[in-house]
Amino acid sequence: MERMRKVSRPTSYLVLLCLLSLGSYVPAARAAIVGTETVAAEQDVEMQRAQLNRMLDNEVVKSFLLANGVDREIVQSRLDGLSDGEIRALSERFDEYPAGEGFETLLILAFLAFIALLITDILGYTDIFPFVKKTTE
Amino acid sequence: MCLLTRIFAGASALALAACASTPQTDAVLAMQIDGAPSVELTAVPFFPQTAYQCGPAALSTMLAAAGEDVAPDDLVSQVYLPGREGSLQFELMAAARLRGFVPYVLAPQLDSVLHEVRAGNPVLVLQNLGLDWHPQWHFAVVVGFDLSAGEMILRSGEEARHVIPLRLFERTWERGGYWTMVVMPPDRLPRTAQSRTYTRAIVELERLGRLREAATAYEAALARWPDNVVAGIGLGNSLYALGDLPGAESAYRRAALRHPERGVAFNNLAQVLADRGRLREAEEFARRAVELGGPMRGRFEETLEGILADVRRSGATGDGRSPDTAPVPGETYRDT
Repeated sequence: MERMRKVSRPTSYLVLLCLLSLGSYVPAARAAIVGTETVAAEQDVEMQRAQLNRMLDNEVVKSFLLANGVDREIVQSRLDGLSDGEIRALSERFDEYPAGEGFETLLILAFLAFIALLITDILGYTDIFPFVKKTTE
Repeated sequence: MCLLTRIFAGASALALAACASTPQTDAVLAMQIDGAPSVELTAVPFFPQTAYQCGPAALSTMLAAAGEDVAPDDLVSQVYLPGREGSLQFELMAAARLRGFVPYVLAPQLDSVLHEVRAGNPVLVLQNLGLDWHPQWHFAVVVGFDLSAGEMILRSGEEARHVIPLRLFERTWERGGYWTMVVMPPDRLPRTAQSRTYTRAIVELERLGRLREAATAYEAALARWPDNVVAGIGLGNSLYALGDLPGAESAYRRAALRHPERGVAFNNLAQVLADRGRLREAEEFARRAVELGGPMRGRFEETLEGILADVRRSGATGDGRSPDTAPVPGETYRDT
């Protein structure tokens, strides 16, 4: 992840530079209007931080989506839909999520889980097996 | 069964013992019921899930109820993560946004869910149907409940009408971090919406360029919370971006009247007036914004400079400052 960040930093600056040069073509009138996002973030440090970090965080989330099988062509539109805060949260937390277990442990775990879930289903704690009748206590 | 990646795994690291109690159900059942004791939104359609794709199926149900028919298959490319065989909550929200709807996360209370269903809004919920150490993440849609029977009615997986005990619902939902969202058409607000969080949800729509929907949603928000400054400015900004300058002017004027202490409303009002050629008024409001100052004072000064440059230019070409006194036929200027 650290290496990922190292690679993504210069890339982000490049993207930032491109965006800034694009920005100069926006009509001058627009620049004077203070955007709603700025107003909403005025008294919210969290939101300001998320806005500032968007570029870098985008790269992290993008690599996460690509690594999980999202098509390259649509990855950008999926990123766009996410708010700054959501991008922030995803970039910070997704790598904390545990990786998959080995096959053997998985097998034992699956059997234990079956027994446990059968019991908890009958007791009304879980809702896994359709053949267990769920009754209102 | 639907597998799904929970990003906030830490938020619900709850032991099995914790599942035994159902405080919210107890509270709801013990309370004097305020509202209908049983409701079922029978008109909400059902899209059975295929494979692990409960996210797309649940979202299709929500979108259809909000007024847009989208097949789950058409949502897969937007919300499904093949590597995790599931969908992320945030991505369900993003997909709703990209289609011009307002996704809104409810307060983590059973009561909120019941209130929304009573108001006719189906509620998308994240459940962990399994256990904390062996999770079975699942998205379903609450479409009804019967408090006297102690039951919840869901569109879930392959079942169009999945009826489960309220307590079982609470346990599975608690293990999902009590996460719920509604998907609103822009002209309607959730019954339990809070002004700050809901207007933020609209800001995201505006950011994505769904300006027409954002404007409608801001208007709906202002009808309920007339003093919300983000909605007031947001309405003006959306209309401005749509090129509706008279509409934007009227929205900014309203915001400036409601919030005479906020420079932003005056700054944006000044700019739209300048765009409409009414430079004298524009200059006056730009000066007011600078006087009010605050963290955005620098921006306000730039606006003022720009307007002063326009004033000098119009003075030099000899057409003076007449635009704001010369009426344009068929157009109302002071439309507040």
